[in-house]
Amino acid sequence: MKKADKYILISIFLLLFISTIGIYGYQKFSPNGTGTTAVITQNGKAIYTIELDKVKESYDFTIENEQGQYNTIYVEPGSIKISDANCPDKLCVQTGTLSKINDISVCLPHGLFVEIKDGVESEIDLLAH
Amino acid sequence: MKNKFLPVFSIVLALLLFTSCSKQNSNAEPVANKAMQLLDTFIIGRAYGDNSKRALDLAFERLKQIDSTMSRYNFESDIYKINENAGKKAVIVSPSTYFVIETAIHYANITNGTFNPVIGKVIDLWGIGTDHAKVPSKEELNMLLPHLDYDQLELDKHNSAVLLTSDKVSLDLGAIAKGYAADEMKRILQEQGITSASLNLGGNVLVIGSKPNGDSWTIGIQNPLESERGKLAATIKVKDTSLVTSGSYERYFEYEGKKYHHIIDPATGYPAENGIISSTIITPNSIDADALSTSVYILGKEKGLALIESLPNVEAVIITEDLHVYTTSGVTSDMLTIHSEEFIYEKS
Repeated sequence: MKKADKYILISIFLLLFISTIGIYGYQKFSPNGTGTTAVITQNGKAIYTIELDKVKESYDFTIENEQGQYNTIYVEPGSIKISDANCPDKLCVQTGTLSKINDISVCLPHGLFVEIKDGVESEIDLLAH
Repeated sequence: MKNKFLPVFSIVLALLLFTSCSKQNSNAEPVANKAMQLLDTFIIGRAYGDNSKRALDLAFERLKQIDSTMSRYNFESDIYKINENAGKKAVIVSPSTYFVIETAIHYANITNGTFNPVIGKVIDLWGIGTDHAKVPSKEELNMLLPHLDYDQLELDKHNSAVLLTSDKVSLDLGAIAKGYAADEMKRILQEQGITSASLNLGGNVLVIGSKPNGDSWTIGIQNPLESERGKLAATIKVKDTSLVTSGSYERYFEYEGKKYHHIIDPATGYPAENGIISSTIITPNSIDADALSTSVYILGKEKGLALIESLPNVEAVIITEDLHVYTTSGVTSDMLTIHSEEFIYEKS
């Protein structure tokens, strides 16, 4: 009985130790922002920059202008696509998923470009201009 | 005793192990993003937390309302109606419009008219930012400048009515409406329980709380010498505040080799040339930051810094044309980092 207790205690300490190192290592060395970046421009103006390697969970958001023209952007870890739009031809939606540098999806009727560029890690959260 | 203690201890340890693991998994806070083209600019919101998507949707609904009541060019807007009825009769306006006009007059008062809400006709004459921008003739400007007295705005609080007593001027809230819009979006987000969010209204920044991990937000200040968006002059670390920058690089046109920017000095009728190329105001309410960034830009460094130091809870970062960076006393060197060797940081 005493011996068994000792083993249990030791194994639990070992487990605790290994898992702590594991969590620490994961946080320290997981990829963050050295890979690809998606740049969204509308009418020639960069409006959104998303570091795709930093994305942990998928999400979507909508870019809408005053005329009610919209494109829904779907972001996943490492990739991005225009998932919905109310443009007449919907070519941008048909383009599908972008993940490699220089991949591009264009919605000409709305003047919207989604482009994958070489990752430049952004050091700021927001830009005042 | 020992025999009983060990198993209990083991179970407690094991539980600790599992709870720490599950905590790791729920660490990723939900985030919602939304962007829209309104108020003549591009507006981006990001909110964190469980209710973030709904909260942002509601905040953008409010933004649409503000856009339609305060645009000068929307026939249904309060501002359009006030200008249409200038010199004729008072117009009953929404409480929001009334508040923004009241605030605009407050800033006109404390800047002796440097912040001028009735400068609309002069701005139209220049047309900067439109496809018909031009340098107006002296005659054209002389017809407008003598009339730029903002006392011609008469407010009737009881009836929420506004009268512009002369049709030689027109009301323009372009230098303050985006600030108000940011404050209203913040109000809605906070009502919805959001404690961490960032808003960017065409370069006007507002942050709620701190980042989800508890850090300060790092805000970049655009390098006024670079036309490429995103080149930084400096970064500043802040929490729960608003930051608005006015700069000559933002909207301008060139004519016969000279650049004409969009911040018009009501004293001259020309783009302000008082030694500042970028003025940033940091203060909790974005409406104040918006009005003051324009004011300080026009006032110049000495008067601008003096004005900001006289106001509680307001700070400024100013870049002058000789490439010096000046701040008010509340901006410390551990908040502000200069990012370009072109600039000389004059610590306050």
